[in-house]
Amino acid sequence: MSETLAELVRGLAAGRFSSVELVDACLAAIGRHRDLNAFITVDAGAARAAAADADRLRAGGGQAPLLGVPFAHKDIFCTAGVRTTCGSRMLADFVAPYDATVVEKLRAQGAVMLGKTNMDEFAMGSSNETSHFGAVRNPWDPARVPGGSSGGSAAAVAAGLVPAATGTDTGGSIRQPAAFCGITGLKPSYGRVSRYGMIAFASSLDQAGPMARSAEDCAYLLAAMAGFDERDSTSHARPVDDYVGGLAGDLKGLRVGVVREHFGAGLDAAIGAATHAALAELERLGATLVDVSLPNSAMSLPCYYVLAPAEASSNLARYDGVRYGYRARDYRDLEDMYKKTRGQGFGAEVKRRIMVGTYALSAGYYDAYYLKALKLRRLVADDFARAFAHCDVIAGPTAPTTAFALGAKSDDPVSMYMNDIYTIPVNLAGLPALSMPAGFVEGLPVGLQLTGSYMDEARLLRVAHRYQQATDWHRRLPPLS
Amino acid sequence: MALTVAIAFHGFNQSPKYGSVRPISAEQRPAALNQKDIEKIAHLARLEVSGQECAAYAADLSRILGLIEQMNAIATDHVAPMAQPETTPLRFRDDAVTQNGDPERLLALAPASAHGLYLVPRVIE
Repeated sequence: MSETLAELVRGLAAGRFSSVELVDACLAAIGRHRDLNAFITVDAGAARAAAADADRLRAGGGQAPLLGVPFAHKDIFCTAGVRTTCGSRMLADFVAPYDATVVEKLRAQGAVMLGKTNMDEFAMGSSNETSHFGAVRNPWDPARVPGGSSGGSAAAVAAGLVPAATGTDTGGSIRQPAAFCGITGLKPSYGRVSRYGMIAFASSLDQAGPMARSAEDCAYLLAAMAGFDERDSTSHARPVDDYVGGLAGDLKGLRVGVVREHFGAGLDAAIGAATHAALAELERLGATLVDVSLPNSAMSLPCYYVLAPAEASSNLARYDGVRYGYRARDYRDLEDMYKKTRGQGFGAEVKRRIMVGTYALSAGYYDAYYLKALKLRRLVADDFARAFAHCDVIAGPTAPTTAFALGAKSDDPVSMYMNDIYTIPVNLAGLPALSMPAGFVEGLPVGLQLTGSYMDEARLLRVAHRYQQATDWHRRLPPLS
Repeated sequence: MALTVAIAFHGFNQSPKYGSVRPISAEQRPAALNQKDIEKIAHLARLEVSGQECAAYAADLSRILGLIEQMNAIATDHVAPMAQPETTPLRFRDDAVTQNGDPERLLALAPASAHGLYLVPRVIE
């Protein structure tokens, strides 16, 4: 399926095709491209039934924009009745007793869930190789990774298995796979989308967001996902902007900040060139480029690798083999049961991060690691506040390289972590950012990251939409067999 | 509610925060972790890690700590810590029951349960 979600929205409204037809086309594509391993669970029966319901509602006058539109959820969102694994052996057979708020909201719009997409275990990874259910392959080159942790969602959209999918982003997990797979993905402001029912990794950083072909698609999805939720104590009460209506408009007078530190060592030269070309296009469309600096951004990576593991070590303490999830078969006593359950239920990267977090929070180390990282987090956030005094959005590369080969970085955690150097600062500050297709290097997609000030999603989507009206990078399709 | 379960969960859920890894001050902290350190950390995190895995984790965690140590390049003496984006104050909700837990349904998720209780190995002789 090569249509954008927005085109499907219009086609359904005009009666050009039915939801049942769309769902059948998606299920067929999923079946043809099983080797991508983009899905952990496909729920064909429920999807067909929901599509039939949507067609009946539409015939009866139903007009919700997403009514009957097929999509997939990252397997981190709890879905009542459909298993939610979070890419882990620990939850391989877990069927949540309730729906996440994001799941409820999309269902209330009549969107049709086809299944749950593959992901790095507990969203910890940048390549989708840490999944208990196997690595996902990049549709642009099956020998390469799709990025992570929302790699299954990105690959599924890029390959046309679904027009859209949900993702989550703690340090770049929507934007980096969007860049690697040549799609558009938005991480909203912290507090914009409810975290209720989204399995926690690092609660002060986690946000859910849309992944699709275009910014217009993301506007439709975000409109359905965003909003205050009583059940998430960090949910923001601010009314949701009109993201779809806000897409219209030009870029005249827009000040685009270009971050000096983004173009230093570590950035692939060809990606640097593609980024500059995209910036020149924004300029041509009426924007003004402004030089800005994020002097503490180099501290983001070490800071994040204290805070995210610290929060993870606490959040993942709940997996104890008692109330739900995996339990080891043989054990001597309660403590041995905990240790064996967790030792066998978690994969290597999750265990690494739990141990880093445990160490950083342990007696004698708290001030040197955790407290130090909290202070650096403020410096990183203050840098953005200063930069946004001079510009309306910040534009730069999403990732320092294009998609790398499967296995290339799996033996070296620190080199894997370097993938997220441009995305992590945004999570630390709690700001919105999207990645959109902005060219190719040796046949592989390149992403441009646009970062906005707090709750400025509508502006980000408008800038990306204008760029996508003038370019066709987001229309390119991978050469799938 | 029938779902109050008394069989000790405590052992693990005591936060590892208060554990001690090695009695040295932050200024003297080691650049690298050895296998013994990993065994202690794994114990605090209630993770079973085999001897062979310990060596690999010691190398990995040492590398990660090397990355983390870069934080010391910046002085932060008068910076206030920031635990989360400070865009809105944390809300308190009313002290009211808002969810109707269904004990049967929740217990059905447990690896072992009986008589409305979660089952764990005996902890009191």
